[in-house]
Amino acid sequence: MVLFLSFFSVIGLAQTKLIAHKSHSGSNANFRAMMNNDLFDVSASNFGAAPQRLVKNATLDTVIYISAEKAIMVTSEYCSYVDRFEEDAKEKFPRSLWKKGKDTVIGHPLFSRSHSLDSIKDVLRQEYYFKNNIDSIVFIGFDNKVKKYKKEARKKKKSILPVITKNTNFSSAIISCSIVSLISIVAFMIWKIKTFERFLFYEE
Amino acid sequence: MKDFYFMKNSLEKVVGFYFLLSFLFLPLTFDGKDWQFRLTEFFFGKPIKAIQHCFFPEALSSIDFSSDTVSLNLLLLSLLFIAVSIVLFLNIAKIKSAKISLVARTAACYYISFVLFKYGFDKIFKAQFYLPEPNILYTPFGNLTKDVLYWSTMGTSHFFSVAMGMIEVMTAVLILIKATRIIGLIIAVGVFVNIILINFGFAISVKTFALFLLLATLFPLFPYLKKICNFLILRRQEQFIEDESLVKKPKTALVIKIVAVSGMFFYVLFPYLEANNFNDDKRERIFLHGAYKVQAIIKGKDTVDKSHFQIKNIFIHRNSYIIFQNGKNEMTDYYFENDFAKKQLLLYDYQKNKTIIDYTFSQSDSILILSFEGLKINAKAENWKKLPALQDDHHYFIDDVH
Repeated sequence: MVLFLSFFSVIGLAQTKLIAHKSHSGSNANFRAMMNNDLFDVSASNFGAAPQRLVKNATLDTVIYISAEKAIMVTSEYCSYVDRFEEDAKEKFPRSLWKKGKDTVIGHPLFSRSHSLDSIKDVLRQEYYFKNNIDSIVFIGFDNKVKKYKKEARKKKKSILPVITKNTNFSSAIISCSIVSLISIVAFMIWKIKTFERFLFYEE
Repeated sequence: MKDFYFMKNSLEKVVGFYFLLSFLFLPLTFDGKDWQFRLTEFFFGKPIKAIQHCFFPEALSSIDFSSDTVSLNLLLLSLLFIAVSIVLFLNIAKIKSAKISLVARTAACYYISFVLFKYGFDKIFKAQFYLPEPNILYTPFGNLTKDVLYWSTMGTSHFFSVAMGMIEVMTAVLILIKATRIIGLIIAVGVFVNIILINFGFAISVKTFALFLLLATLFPLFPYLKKICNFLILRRQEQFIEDESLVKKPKTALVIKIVAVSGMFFYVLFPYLEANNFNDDKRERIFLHGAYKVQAIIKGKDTVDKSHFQIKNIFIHRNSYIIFQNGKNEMTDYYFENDFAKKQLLLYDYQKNKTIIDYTFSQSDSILILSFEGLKINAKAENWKKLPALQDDHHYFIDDVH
């Protein structure tokens, strides 16, 4: 029986270890224990800059309906950056991790076919934090609305780059424009001004 | 006079070697156990553990060279000792190392630029000074320590965070361009002095690294200090002669520069591009994240009187912590894992003891029910984002305040 624990992608909060600990109202007395035993997420913070860890995440590839009591889940791991906390936690802290591969789910309320496929997807989206796009999961034996699924998958693919998409908020659009403007100004200066021409030809 | 120049050159070489060694071994563990941490641990882990054990028995037992730990300071001291030893050896063996200062100064410029890019973009994307967590917002002001107060206050202003980030990114760009390097370094000195004052003034534990960054900025600026003073204070005309180039061929130099700068941008921006999130305030939080006001506690079949409530509020922190606030505003925090299938929270305290709590959450009325050890706690979600601290009350004229 799969234990439904999921790991969501975090860039992580930028903070010192002490501020990280105090941010969840941790006491000074517990800070030492946390540091000495490398507990929980203490390794994720350091010099006050954002840790760039990107968690090894579970991705749900396929759900196969067997019976009202049984379903098979096929999962794999999405991996970008190696996550120090996750690695250490496996060794130092007892926890049940999602293992990739096939697993039979017995009596899981979500996959007992008493819900429509759309509502299953909604629950997965809201509560399970799989790394992958929920619309990309293949459901076999469930009430599958193939057309809708394909359309949504195509739409989402467009939003990989940080350009203005339907999900992009106003401030991120301003930031993207600012970065482009900044690069353009620097490029213009390098192109036009003699000082910068000198920089181009006499650089170390 | 000859001795003076010998001493000056030797000192410059020591500083040059020291910074080069520090750039290599000071682990900027932004992404966990990276190559730099492993390298430092391999060479310095055991010796520093032994020194720390002898001279600082009260220090933290883990040697991870974290910010403002004894181990980090011992590492920097060890690197200084190594740098002095190298220069002594080179002087005795009469090995020429004239270019070391130039190499170190150039490396310092790129290092400082990288750090400024990292911290700058973290600020622009609101990942450094993040939105304060609900448990912090519901803690009385006087109960918070200065460092959390400062961090949280900064986190409430998106405008300030982005503006500060822009300044840092612009400074990094100025340092990278050779023609504007000196002005960039001067601005960087101002930025780091400000950070040092904040870190000392608000007890933020990035003091050693901030001092290190200031010294690393002053090092490439040092040859120009006299001329800068002459120009700014004595108002004398001065000609700033550029450093000799390390790479003689301009095209090769340009290619190296483009590769280095692209690498910096990729390293700093990749996580944001990968996550497609450029404002941490709007990043999706974990399930149940928020503040909950306890409405009823049921023990067996009896409802406990409100005056006897031991828990006033419950908070779910985005890094998977559950925090209970009592009537005296004291907080108790636990790390948790959410077993979605069983609808259970697996709580761990700092002694690694495990407690299992059953939960139900109703989206329609935002009621969270926690059940454990015969107790049932009913708590209602608070609209913590409506608190005054998180409102953008922008006004220029006080006449606009109503």
